[in-house]
Amino acid sequence: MSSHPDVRVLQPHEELAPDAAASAPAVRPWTRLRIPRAVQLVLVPAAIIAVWIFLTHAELVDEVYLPRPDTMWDRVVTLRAELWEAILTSGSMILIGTLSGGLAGIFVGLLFGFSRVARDLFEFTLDVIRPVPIFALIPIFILWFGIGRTPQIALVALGVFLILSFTTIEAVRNVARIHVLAAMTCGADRLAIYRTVVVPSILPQILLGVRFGFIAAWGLDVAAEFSGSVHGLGFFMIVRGQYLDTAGVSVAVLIYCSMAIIVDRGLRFLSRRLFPWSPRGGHEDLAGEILGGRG
Amino acid sequence: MGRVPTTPSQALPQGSDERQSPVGLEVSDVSMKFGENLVLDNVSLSVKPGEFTCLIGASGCGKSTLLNLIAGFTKPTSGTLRAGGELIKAPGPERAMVFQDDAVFPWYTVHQNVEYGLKLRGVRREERHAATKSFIKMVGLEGREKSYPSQLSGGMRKRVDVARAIAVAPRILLMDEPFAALDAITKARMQEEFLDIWEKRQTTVIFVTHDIEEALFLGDRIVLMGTHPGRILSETIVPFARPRSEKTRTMPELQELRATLLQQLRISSAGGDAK
Repeated sequence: MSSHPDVRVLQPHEELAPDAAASAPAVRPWTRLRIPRAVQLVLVPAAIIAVWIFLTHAELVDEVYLPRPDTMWDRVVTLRAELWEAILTSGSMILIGTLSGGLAGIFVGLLFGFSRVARDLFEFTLDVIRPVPIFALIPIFILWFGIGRTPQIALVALGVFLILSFTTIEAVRNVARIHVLAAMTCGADRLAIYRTVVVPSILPQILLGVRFGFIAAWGLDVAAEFSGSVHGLGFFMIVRGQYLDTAGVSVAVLIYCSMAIIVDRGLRFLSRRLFPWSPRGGHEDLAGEILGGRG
Repeated sequence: MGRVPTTPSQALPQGSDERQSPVGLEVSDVSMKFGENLVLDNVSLSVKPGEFTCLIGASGCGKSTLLNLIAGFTKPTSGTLRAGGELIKAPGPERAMVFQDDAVFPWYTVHQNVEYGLKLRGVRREERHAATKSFIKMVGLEGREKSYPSQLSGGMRKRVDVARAIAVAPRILLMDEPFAALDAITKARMQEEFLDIWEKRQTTVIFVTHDIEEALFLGDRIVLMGTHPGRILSETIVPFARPRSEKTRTMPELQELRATLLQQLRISSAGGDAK
């Protein structure tokens, strides 16, 4: 193609630099001794369980401090009716609280994005309320709503509301200007910009906010049930604690953990399925992949 | 979200021919101040319907500001802008824009991005699909309709962007350094493809660039702008016949014009950077 005297066309497979092969990265010896990934993933949990079984069965630790696995299983079997009822109670409260508080939070965030008047009226108030420690409100909630499920749900709802209103407001604020301008030159009016740019672009962040909301909700529910409740897993823990039944308390803790993990994983899965386009929803995190790269 | 004018622009007449006839542009005595900073000083420019005008100039000469004014994103401090005789008040599909940065919607597929403007206009489903398909074909992205922008290369995303803008049938197409971020080969190919599309559709184009060769290869006319304050320094009619091809790039006349324009640019921006 080129016949310029300074241009030398290389033949196929001809190499330009003689030392190209020498500069190839050397294989580090230790990377050859790699443990399979599946083993890596269960290694630490398995070790913890092994130490736990060893410590308790060798009776090196008193059962009041650390229960034996078989004692815990015994509690699950003997107290299963109570446990089941407690799970349903706490689970439904968290669900109702998170959904109502979350929807309200998302609504307020979207409203702030759409209406300047709403923002001017409520933004300062919301900014002031946000940093108030919610647990400090428990006594007031009990005085307002009495003992029972209402103050608990209200507490969970308020906590989740604050998280999701904040997430949504920030997400709306971060909508890329260029996408809004592009929509306008394609003929979008205000409502169309909202419907086709603002909402779809913030959905992955909202789902991330819902995950944070759930994480907060478990803690809020436990705290609420510790103080002024006669139902639920938190109440179950308080009762077992009064009997010095560490095994029973631990069973409740494990149930909380499992519920939280299942919900969080479920939401993460949902995010990947719903938002394949989003780096947040779709793929593994980029920084983690590079910094913690696997050879 | 930036502050943007909120008046919706006039929707194009429904069921009209896809090919809206191109209109001219009249910029009269436009000045633009940002605070105390005079960005555009008394700029006047007249563009004929169907003309391909390139605005070139060093950074800070206000060429992007002028384009944003034509788009209707901002209003001038003084002076008027008219498209097809009508005062420009707000952005709208009759003046669609292709941006320098990635402006395709990442949450929509290629197909959804390209049909965006048609959908807003309420074009019927079957008609819309057929039109979208032809636009995707026009920019050479058949088979990628269902891909998301994150799965495409920079050049492909730019094609989506161009197709989306052309699909709304603009009477004036505004382009703000659309190919500046692409590599040399992709850039050259996109320029050729774009000329091809433009020759078929014959819309008025205002093309901002800082690349003299690009302006000479694409434009009918080159408007050179100077800095501090931003103003029009010269206008050059590009004499090369159309259709232009790869050969146009190597013509000695093009290289001569390039040298002249470069010289002008050098003089205009000398001392300008010192501010």
